[in-house]
Amino acid sequence: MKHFLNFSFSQMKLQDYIECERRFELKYILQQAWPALRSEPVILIEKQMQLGKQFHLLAQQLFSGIPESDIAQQIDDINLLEWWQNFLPFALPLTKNDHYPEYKLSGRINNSPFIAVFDLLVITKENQFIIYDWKTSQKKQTRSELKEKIQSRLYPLLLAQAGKYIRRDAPAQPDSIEMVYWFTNYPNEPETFQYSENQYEIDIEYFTNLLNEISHKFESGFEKTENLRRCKFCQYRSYCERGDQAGLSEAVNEELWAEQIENLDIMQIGEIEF
Amino acid sequence: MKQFSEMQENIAEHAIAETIFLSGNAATGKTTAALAYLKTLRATGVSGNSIMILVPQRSLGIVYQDFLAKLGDFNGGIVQINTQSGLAQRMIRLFWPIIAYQTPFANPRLSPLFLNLETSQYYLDKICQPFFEKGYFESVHLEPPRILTQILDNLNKSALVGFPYQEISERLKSAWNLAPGHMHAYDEAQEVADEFRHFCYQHNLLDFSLQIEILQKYLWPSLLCKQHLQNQFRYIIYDNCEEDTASIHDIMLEWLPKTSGGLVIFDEDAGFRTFLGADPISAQRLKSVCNFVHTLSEPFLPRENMETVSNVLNAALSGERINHISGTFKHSFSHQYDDFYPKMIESVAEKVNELVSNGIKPAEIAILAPYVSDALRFQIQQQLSKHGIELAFHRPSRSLREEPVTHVLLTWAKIAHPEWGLIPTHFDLRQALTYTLQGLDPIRADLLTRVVFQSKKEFWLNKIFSVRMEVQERISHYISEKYQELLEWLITYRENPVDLDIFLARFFGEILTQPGFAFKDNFHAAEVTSKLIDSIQNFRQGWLQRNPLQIINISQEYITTLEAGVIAALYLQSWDKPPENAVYLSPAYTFLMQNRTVQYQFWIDIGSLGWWQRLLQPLTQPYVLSRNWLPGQKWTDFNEYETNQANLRRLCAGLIKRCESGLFLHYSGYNESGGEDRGPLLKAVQKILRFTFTDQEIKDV
Repeated sequence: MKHFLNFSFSQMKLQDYIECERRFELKYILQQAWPALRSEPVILIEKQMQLGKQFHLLAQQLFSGIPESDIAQQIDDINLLEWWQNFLPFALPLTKNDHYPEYKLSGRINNSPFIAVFDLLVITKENQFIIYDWKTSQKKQTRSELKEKIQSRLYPLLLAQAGKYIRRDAPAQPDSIEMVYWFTNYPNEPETFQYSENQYEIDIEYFTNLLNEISHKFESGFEKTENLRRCKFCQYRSYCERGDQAGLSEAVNEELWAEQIENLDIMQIGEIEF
Repeated sequence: MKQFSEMQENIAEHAIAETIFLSGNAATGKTTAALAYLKTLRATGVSGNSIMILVPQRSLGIVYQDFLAKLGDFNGGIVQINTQSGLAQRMIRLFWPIIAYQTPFANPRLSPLFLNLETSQYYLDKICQPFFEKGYFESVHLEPPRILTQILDNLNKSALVGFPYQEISERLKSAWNLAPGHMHAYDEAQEVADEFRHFCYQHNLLDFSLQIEILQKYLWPSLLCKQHLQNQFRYIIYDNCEEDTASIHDIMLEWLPKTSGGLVIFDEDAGFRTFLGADPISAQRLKSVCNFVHTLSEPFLPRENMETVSNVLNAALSGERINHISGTFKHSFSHQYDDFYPKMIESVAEKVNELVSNGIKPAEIAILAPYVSDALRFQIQQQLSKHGIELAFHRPSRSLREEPVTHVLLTWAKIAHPEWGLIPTHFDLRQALTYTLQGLDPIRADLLTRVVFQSKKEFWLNKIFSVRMEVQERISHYISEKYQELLEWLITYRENPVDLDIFLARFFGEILTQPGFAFKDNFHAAEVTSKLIDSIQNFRQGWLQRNPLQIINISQEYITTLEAGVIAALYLQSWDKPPENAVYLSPAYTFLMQNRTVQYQFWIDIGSLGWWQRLLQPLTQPYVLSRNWLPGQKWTDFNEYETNQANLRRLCAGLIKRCESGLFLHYSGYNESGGEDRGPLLKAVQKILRFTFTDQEIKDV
């Protein structure tokens, strides 16, 4: 797959590809800036993203050893405080295990590089590897929607591949991996997905086929999505001549935040700014 | 995959369990040894998550970024490339709750707000206004934005060098050697700096200097933070440590002995960023904490001729006698004189074309000047395009204010918000229309402006249908329709106005990039718009979090501040590797900070004093605000001259070490502004020419 020599795949990039090949091409391969709005109302979405960002930072601080009382003092938003209070009973017991906040992972599938950032990786005393992902959106996705997400397939797969580097004596096996989504607004309804050897094989085949398909698109061309509704929530809609106005979003697109994390943590190197 | 020498492989092997201080001149293979080290670490099974590559500037990390991308996964982890500033920001964000109460910030409970260069300048300008009104800084005869940058620069130096910011003025005054009248300007700068720092403390604002200071004073001494870093990064590559600051060296002095292995790379005869606080002398201290010191002395690739060029030029610059020069010298050193500046550009383009025609890849050619203006870039681009050669250029930071697209966008923003009272001029509107309506030439744009623009009315634009039919016909029906579409969009927008960045994003998507409008396939315009929106958004989001100045309309504030030149909407250009098919143009110092070599270099305008002289900075002094300056010593003209000479020698040597095959020197009788320049670089070159070339060959010099 020579096209991707300077290119690491992530769940976000593949999710974009699945939703619209052309968006994937414009955004990641051509890196075409196109500053139109993705969705409205901007300020509300921005505010919710900001809260999501702050929540992720608080969680990272907790799992980095900062006392919860020190963390709580920073909270000046009532929604965030509620999320935090929901979170503590769930999170504190996890700190008794080996835990790695904002854990970065790389791997290869079909010789193409992949990266992932887990909100938290926990390794229990029973050698269970649990990937946690915090979801801050208003609306909870259904279990079947979550199961179909690229993230739910890619994260456990990469962990199964890289597990030997995390615990050399007892590497992660697919059967010992779990993926847990925890929702700030639905604290008692986490969704857990047990991974397995069988699912690992299915996923390897799935991603291999997907990568081969993408590779062929360099010759055949990246097509625009047939689902025109998606164009309402895409910044490239005017580029593709698929309308002018951004759609009204009922819920904040969680992926926007995931994309920011990937960009901030992996691609950006701080710069002396003077 | 890259091939490594035996020496490089050996160094890599050793650094698995030891720390090595690797020094040597440029192009002796030090960074390549670091790449070999990465390869070895990967082969040994070390996870990328436990490796940190530290570089003084983002551009110096590109070579690692490319190499790591080619390696693919790194044993399940991701190698982190960091700078001091990046490290400071990450650590402050994460550990703020445990250090905030030790700091002088008035509201430690609140999370900090990071200021970038723009927002720092903005707040500092507000702090400065009452001082300007009192007549402060009148004696230095500088534009306010330059005063602001120098005050910030002083604060930054205090943090990077590690002295209390309250001592800035005393240090500068103690070294001042000329008219005593100037000294009060230092006191004024100190007073404003104190006031700005106080303001930052009151509102939890972190400019660059405070970010560095917090890392040094509070984060690194914190056990939790230190352990977090030391446990995470067991292996360190610290490249170009000579271009970094004494404060980060202090941290590395403690950190390196705690690592499992590491490689510290020191480029001899460098220190090109001294004016930004780089301290090569301080970097030498890192030797003492490394297990081994190793020096590479042989050039990685044979380049005998270029060594001769370097030696000869160095001798000429040092006023030494030039000894025998080998016959092949002229193959690697050529010069061209032209009477006029444009002709010089033409000559450069012709020579570049000759090289490309002879099979040299354009990316193997760099055109370097002391400064690169838009005019210079345009002229070179024009000349090269005549030969079908592309140009890639880089300036470390660029102001969006200089982009016509920015003017166009802001003109539409003003028209959409008449309540701001920022009436555009006839010229502004004509330019906006030309850039907005596809196919509209400036003459018809002028006509359109004359018939629809009414600055005395409540809303400044008229409907096109109120214009006489024959005028509409002259403008063309299609363009008239598009104008009307634009106008109706603006009128509808007026019902629910939004913040400036959101307005621009909507306007871009709903009008400017729709069929019949000129941003449709204009990718440059899209890029500028995107950067402008980012700049405004950053400004607005900071304002939403903290509004210490009680600004009511942030959009209006942004435009007026930008137009007053207080903020320049500077954006750091991405440091991507230049494309393979393009000749590269950049300021000489910027090229040095890319850590790469090319086959051929063109140095243009070598008569310019810009090659030799540092920028006039009457409120700061990089050599005095340094750990290497003895308190009480005076900075004399002799110091200035010697420093300029040393810098020029270092610059020339550094450039030639990054040049494999040949150097072309170009100069003209009259410079860009019509003046006659005879700077020290030109004089040194003339000396060489007298010695090496016949009278016929140097008749024009």
